[in-house]
Amino acid sequence: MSEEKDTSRGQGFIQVLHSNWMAWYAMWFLVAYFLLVAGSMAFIDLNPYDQQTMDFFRPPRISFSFSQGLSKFILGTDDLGRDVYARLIYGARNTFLYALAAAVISSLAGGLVGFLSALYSSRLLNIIRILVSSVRSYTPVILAFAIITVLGPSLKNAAVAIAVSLIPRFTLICHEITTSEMKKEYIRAVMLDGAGTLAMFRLSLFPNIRDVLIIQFTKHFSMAILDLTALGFLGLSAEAQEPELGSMIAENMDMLYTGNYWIIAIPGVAIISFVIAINILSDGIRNALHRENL
Amino acid sequence: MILILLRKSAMLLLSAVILLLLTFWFHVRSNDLGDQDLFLRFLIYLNRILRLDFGFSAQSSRPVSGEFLEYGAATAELCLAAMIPSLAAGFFLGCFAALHKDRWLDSAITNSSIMFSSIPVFWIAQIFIALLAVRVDWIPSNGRISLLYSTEQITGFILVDTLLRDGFGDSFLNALTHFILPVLSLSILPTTEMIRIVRNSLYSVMQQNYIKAAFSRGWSSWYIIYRHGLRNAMPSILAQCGSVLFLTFTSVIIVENVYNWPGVGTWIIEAIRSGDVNVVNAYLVLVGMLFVVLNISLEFAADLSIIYLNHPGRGRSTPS
Amino acid sequence: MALLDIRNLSVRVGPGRDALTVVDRISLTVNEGRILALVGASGSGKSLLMQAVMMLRRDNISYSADRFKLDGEDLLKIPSRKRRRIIGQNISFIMQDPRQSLDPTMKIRDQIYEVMPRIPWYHVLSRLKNFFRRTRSKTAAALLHRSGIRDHERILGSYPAQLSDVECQKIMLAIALASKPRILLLDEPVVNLETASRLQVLKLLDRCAKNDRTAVVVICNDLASVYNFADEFAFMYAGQIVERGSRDRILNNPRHPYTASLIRTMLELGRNGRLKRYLPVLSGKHPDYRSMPVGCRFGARCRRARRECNREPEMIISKNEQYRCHFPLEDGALYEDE
Repeated sequence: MSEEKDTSRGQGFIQVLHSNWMAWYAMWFLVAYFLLVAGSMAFIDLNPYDQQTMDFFRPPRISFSFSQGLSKFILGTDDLGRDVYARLIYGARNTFLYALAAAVISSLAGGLVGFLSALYSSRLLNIIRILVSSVRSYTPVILAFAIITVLGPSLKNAAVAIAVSLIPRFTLICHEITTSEMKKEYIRAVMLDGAGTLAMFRLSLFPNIRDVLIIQFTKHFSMAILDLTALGFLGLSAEAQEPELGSMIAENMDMLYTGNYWIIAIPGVAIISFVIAINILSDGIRNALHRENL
Repeated sequence: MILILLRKSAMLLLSAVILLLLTFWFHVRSNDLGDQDLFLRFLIYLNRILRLDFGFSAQSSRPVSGEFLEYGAATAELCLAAMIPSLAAGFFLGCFAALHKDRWLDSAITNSSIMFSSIPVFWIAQIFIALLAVRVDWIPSNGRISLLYSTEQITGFILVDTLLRDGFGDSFLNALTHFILPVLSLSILPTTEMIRIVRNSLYSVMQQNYIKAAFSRGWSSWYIIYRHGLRNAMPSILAQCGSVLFLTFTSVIIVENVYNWPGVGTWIIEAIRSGDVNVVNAYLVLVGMLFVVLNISLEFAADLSIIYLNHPGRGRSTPS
Repeated sequence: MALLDIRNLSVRVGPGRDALTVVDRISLTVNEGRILALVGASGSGKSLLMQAVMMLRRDNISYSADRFKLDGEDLLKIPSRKRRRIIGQNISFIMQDPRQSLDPTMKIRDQIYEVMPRIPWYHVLSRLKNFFRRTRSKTAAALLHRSGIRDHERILGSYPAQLSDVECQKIMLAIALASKPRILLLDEPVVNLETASRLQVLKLLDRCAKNDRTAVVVICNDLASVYNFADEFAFMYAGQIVERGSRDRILNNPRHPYTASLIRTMLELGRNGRLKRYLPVLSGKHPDYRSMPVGCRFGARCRRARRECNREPEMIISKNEQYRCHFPLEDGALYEDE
C-alpha cells in the first residue's frame, strides 16, 4: 500500500506539466506574461497617470521607424488622454499582485487551521475550525461591501475582503483531505515506525497531498482575480486614478455606445487570457495526476 | 436524522450569530457609537433586526425593508430566470461529459466550460451590449421594460405583472426582450460550475465496478446514469450546489449594474457610493442571512439524501 | 459448432501512435457446457481480454480481429448499440470483487428485480399489481436459492455492505444467471474466498455448466484453485496464449515450458510421493509491454531456450493440442528436471 502511494513523490512538478501540452503552453504563457509586465515596467518609461490634453481617445496603432523608435501610444489613449498600454501594465501588476496576495494569505491561514485541527484533534482547534467554517456562507463581494463602506475603497481593503472570504474554503479542503489521508495504511505504517506528528506530516502526508494543494491554490488564485476585478468594476477596489483592470473597463463603459470596442476589449483580454492560462494549468495538473474528484 | 437536524440548526444558529456580530461591528463603526455600552447596544440592535426595522434610506427617505422587498423581487426574478435553465443545461452537459469521458465530446464540454468560467461576467455582459444591442439594434440592454408601458406593481415579478395586466401582449413581449441579455450573461457562470460539479462527481461514480457490471448487461447508458450513477453521485452533487447559488448571487450584482436592472445590486452599489449606511446594513443582514440559510439547508439536503438513498458509511439504516 | 469463436483478436491500449498491443492475436473457442480456465500471471492480459469480449472498456482502446463470432453472428460487423445488446443478453460477466459490483445504495432485492424480465406498465397499474409483486419476489427467491442461498429473506432485505464476500459472490451469480446467459465469464471468482466457500462457488459453476449447458470461462492466476474443476485450459503469457488443451492432456503432458513450470509449482510432492528436493521457482519476471523481447516472449525465463527462440514461435495446432513453442516438452518430460 505504502509503495503504491508514494510513487507520486518522485514525480516532479515539471514532469507532470510536460505530459500535458496544454498545461505546458499555459505555463509558458504565464511566464511570458510576467516577463512582459516586469520588462515593460523596468525598461520602458511608462506613466499611467499623465493626461495628454491634446491627444485623447486615440485608437491603437503600432508603427516603427528607426529614427523615432516605436510609436508612442501603441494601444492608444483613453478618454482622458492617458496611455492605455501604461495603464494596462500597471493595472495588471496591481490586480494580479493583490489577487496573489489574497490567495496566498487565505491559503496559508486556511491551511494552518485545517491541518492543525486535523492533525491534533484538540477541542480548541476544532472549535476554531467550526468558527472559521461557519463564515463560509459569505461571498467576497458581500464581505467587501461591509469592509469598504467602513474603511473606504482601496485595493488593499478589497484584497483583505477576498482573502477572508476564501479562508473557510481552504480550511474545509485541508481538513477533509488530511483526515481522509490519515486513515490510509501508509500513514499508519509511518506512525507505527515511530514518526512524530510533525515528521509524519512533513515526510509522508504533505508530499502526497501537495498536488491537491497546488491545484486548489491555482483555483483560488483565479477566483481571487475574478473577484478583485469584479470589485474594481463596481468601483469598490481602486481609488480614482489608480490603474486596475476591472476599473479600466468600468471607466470606459460609455465608450461602448460610440462603437469603440477596443478600449474595453483590451483589458478584458488581459484578464481572460491570464485566468484561462491559470485554469488550464490547474486542470492539466489534475488530469495528469488522475485526481478526478476535486 | 434528528441528530443531523440538530447539528445543522446549531450550525445555523452559530452562523447567524457570527453574521449578526459582523453586521453589528459594521453598525458600530458606521454610526460612531464609541463610548456606549456595547452589550446594551447589541441588544437594542438585535431587537430592531428581529422586527425587520432597518431605519430609513438616506436617499429616498423610505423604509429600507420595503425598498428591499421591491428591489428583491426584480433580482429574484432575474436569478430564477437565469438559474433554472442553467442548472438544467449544466446538469445534462455534465452527464454527457461524464458518459463520454476522455473522448472528444467530453473534452469539448470541459474545455469550453473552463474557457467560459474564466471570462469575467462584467466583460461578457458589455460585449453582449456592444454586439447585440449597439452594433445590431436587436435587443434592448437597459432596464426591465420600456418606459412606454406603465409599471404598476402587482407581484413585483414583471413578467407576471405584464401578463396579468395586458395578457400575452406587447408589454409582456417587451419585458421578455429586456430579459434576454441579463439572463444570457448571468447564466454562463452557473452553467459552467454545474457542469464541473456534475461531471466530476458522476465520473468518480461511473468508474465503479457496479456501473461496469450494469454496462455489461447491455442496458442503455441513460438508464444506468439515472438508476445507478445519479443515485450514488447525488449527495456529492447536492453538497457542492451551494457554490452555484453563490456564484449566481455574486454575478447578479454585476449584471444588474451593467444593464441598469432596478434590483438589489444597483440599489446597494448606489448606497455604498453615497454612504447610505442603513441600506448597506440591511443588505448585509438580509442577504447574509439568506446565504446562511440556503447554504445550511443545502447541506441538510445532502445529508438527507445520504440517508434516503442509504449510502453506506454515514447514517446507515442499522440501528445502534 | 463453437458458441464463441474468436480468431486473432488483438487489443491495443493507449492513444494513437503510442498504443501498446496488450492482447496479441488470440484465438479462442468456447463450447456449450464446457468450463474453460484461462490461467496466467497478473498482467498477462487476461482481464483485458475478458473486458474486450464484453466490449466494456471503450476509452483509449482499439480492437481488431479476423473473426469474432457469437453463435454464428460476427459481432464486429454490426452496429455497436446492437452489439452491446446482443452481448448483454448472451454473455454474463462477473468482475473480480463481487462486493464492488453491487450498487452500495440499493437493497439486494431491487438489484435482483432490476435484472429480471420487466413487468409491463399496464400490469403494474392494474389490479394485478400485487399478484405480480408476489410472483416477482418468488422468482427472486428462486434465483437466490438456485445459486445456493438458503436464507433469502435476510439477503433480499439487506445492503451489500452487510453481507459477506461469499454471499456477494453468490448474489452476483444469481444476477448473472437471471438473464439465462449462454456464456458466463468470471474474473477471479474465488480469489478472496476461503477454501470451503471456494468449493461451494466452484460447485455451483460446475452445476450450471453441466445442467444448463452454459459455457463457463474462468480467469484465474492460481492454477491450484481450479485444476480439477475445468474441462479445458488456456495459458496466457505476455498477451499471448501459449498453450491450450484439455485437462488430462495439460496436467499430464504439458508442452510449453511455462505451463510445465506452473504445474510443477502446483504439485507439492514429486513424482514418487517424496518431498521435492528444491522449490520449483520460476525465476525472472513477466516482460513489460513497453519493451517486449524479440522472438519468444518466454525466452528470457526459459531453461530450454536456444538460438532459434529469437524467432517468434507460431501457434502449432494439432488434433488435440495447441502450443506456441519451438522446443516443446515430450510426453512425460514434466518431471525430468528432478
